[in-house]
Amino acid sequence: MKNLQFIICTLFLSFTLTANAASKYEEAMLTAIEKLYEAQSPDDFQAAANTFERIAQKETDKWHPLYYGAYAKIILSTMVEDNADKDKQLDQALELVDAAKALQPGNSEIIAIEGFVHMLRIPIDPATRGQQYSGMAFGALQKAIAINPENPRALMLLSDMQMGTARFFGNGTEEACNTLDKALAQYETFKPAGTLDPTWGKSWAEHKKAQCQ
Amino acid sequence: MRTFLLSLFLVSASCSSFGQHLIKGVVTDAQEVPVIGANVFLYNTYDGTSTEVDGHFSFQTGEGGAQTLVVTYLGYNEYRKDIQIESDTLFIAITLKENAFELESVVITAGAFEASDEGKREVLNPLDIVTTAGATADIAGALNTLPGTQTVGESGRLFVRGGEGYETKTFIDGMQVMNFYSPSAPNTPGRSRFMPFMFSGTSFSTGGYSAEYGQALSSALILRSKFLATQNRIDLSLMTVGADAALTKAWENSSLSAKAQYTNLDPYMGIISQDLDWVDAPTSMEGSAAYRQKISSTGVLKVFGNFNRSDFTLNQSAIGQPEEKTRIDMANQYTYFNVMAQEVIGNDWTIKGGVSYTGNRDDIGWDLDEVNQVEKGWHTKLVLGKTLSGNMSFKTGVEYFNRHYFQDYDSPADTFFNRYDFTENLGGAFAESDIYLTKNLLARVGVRSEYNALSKQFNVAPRLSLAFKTSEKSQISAAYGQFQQSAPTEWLMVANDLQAERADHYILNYQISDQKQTFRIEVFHKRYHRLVKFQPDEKTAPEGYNNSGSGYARGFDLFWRDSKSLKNADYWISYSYLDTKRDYRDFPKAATPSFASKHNLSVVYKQFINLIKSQVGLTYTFASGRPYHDPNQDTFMGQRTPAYHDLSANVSYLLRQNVIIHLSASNLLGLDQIFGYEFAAAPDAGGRYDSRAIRPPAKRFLFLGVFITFSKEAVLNQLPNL
Repeated sequence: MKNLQFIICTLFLSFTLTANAASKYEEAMLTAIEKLYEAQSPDDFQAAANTFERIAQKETDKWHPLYYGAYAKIILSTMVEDNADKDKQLDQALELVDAAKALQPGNSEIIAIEGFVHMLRIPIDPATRGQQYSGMAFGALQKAIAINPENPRALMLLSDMQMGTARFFGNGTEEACNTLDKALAQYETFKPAGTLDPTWGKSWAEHKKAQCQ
Repeated sequence: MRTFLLSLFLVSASCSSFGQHLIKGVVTDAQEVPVIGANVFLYNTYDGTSTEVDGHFSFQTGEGGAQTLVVTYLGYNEYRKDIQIESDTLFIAITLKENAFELESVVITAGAFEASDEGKREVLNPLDIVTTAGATADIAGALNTLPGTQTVGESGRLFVRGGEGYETKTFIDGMQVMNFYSPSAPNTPGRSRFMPFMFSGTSFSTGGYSAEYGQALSSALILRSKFLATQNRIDLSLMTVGADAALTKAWENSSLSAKAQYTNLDPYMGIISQDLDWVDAPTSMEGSAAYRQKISSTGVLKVFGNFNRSDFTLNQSAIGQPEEKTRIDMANQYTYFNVMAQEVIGNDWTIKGGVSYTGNRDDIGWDLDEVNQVEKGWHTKLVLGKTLSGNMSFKTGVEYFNRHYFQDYDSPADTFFNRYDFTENLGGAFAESDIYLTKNLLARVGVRSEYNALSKQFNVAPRLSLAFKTSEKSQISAAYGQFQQSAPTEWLMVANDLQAERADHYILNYQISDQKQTFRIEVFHKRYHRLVKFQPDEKTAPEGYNNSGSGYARGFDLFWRDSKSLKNADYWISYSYLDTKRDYRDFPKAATPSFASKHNLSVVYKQFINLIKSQVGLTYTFASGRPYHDPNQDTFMGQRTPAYHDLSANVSYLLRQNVIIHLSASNLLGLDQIFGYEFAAAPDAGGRYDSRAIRPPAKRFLFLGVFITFSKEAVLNQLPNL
């Protein structure tokens, strides 16, 4: 009986495996992405980053696990206290972004979160780092928008940079708010090209909108 | 049909549990503290999980047989273990090893002041250097507000812990820089030749530094230049003393910056009266260029070149005889270039190589007499480094210095001509290892050897540093080392066979810091050996010189920095106590040299005022009286100058996002600052030596500049440059 069960199982599994070879990856990713979007605590984000690291070490030709791993690390960096620890998380995020860029050069979403990494370096020491990293963040975000002018995340991050700069220099926030409006408009119509493509940021953009009124 | 579906469901349900194994375990560090959030998985599968708050983990896997279990966690070495999955449940206890280099739990602070924008736990950052009042954006000027330095206002150089100015050596990207300071008029501070904004990191060592650096008795100033520029920009500066323009072009993997500068102090000296009789105030022209390239994902190439020409002419009166004047002409030509490349080669070896060249020419006229001195130096270096494990790193290198110097003295009136010259070839080799004996105890063990073909001297110098973390925020650090430096050029040119001078450093340091506050105290003892001595009346003959001098310096430093307590404000206080004596040069006996003051204090305060979009800075400097020798008195070096006080201020006003106006002034209170006294060479008719106080040529130095930056983003400005 045990042998029979083994044979049936082997047949069954090999059948489902061939049929779902692609979807096992997708399934794992979709579950992981859902968990990431639901994450609240630093531990949740660490666990999410770990999941993407596991998928990435198996699927070495896929950029999505690297992208989401970087995103989890980025959010984690905002939740740790110590500046040196923030930098370590951002260093790791940047490594993942670079790996994703190598697999998928010229991808607007990847370049946008590269800008996100640079942007979060600034508040760690604004006076010293502001100039260098704001240049790098603007550079990456504008490149992301040049590749895909409809990328709402790149637009939202750009409006964040513009807002921060305007505040630092005591200037008006019209430009930042215009960009944010563009981002919100794009969130309304945005359809991800693939099931695994990023969709985050809409509620954050809506939250930001309050600062413009 | 129903039965079929049911059986299919049952099959699939039982299949998903069939062949399933449970892998459980716990992850701890070496101290058996649970590691939370570590990533535990089977290599090349999706199967795995993160550890829980108690370090435990468990996950199901359908894989069987030989597998590799991997555990990763930031700050720890990756753990890998081959396992056999046979039984239903497997329990594995895992101990992760700390990667001390990633954790950076303890760093060596004895004798070291780090300034960098990398965001690590440094005491200062480059912006601090350029916004310090009284420093006029000069690197040495800002470092002179740190403990361990002495105020020597007529020089502007870094005099560290009883050491003379020449005992501090400067390195850019590991390569030697000779003649680091521009020539200056008598009794005015010379400025560093390189602008602070070129550098992303500064490491100022007041002793006990790495075996990688040699030929410096007291201190090493190690500057790391910036890498790729990321944006195109144009910078223009208009100043009361001149103007400059800089252009930066950035590409994907390379960047080029070029700068031209013209300085002329004539208009300024014309408005603000000076104690000096200028014929032609200092004028200089400078050009520099920097090229940066990413040669691979890990490789770096840096090329930098600088050319400068400056001159001035003045009439200097003799001591006690204001009418008797000597015309002094000074022209200086300076060339520096530096090429450095770094790459990671197989197995995590880092290889770094570089070449630097310094060429300096001074043409000095004394009425009709002329002194021409030329110094040309090459430095080449190759360093190999490797991190051997999470707890040990190693580097070793070889270097070669070649230096040629000559000085011609030509007196047409006396039909006298003399040349002094020498060529020095020096080879060096070093090895150094950083070893984390535990997570909280770091040892740096190094050795350096040099052979000097000129003095035919071979030496081996040990260096040792230790750092121990005493609590979350505090640590104790100690350093010992032997340091050698060729005899100063002015004596070596006469007596070519002079041996290198030597200093031994002993340093003990305690530091407590969090992100916004730092307190440190350092105690030091330094012994000098083989200092150059000579007979005052035999200065022109090699036989008049020997290496029989010696000396000591000891004392302590205190440093407190706080950027937390006051809103938008930042301040630091440095105090140094110094007890030093030397028997060197033409001293008849051991005495405290004229550059050493017992007490030095600096208070630096910076406040950003949002309302007027300005940063205001104040710096107060105090130095107790400096010794001098009065030939009218019996005691050698028995006199003391009055104490020195200075209060300087600066204001940087952000007119627009890309336009800054900068104003600075030294000696706001207009106090009389006396650096020392000089005496006539011969007594007057009454048998007395006339004297003259050495003072700054003007009470205050005022500076006004407008700095404009054009870039695509318009968020850039020159604030970090000021």
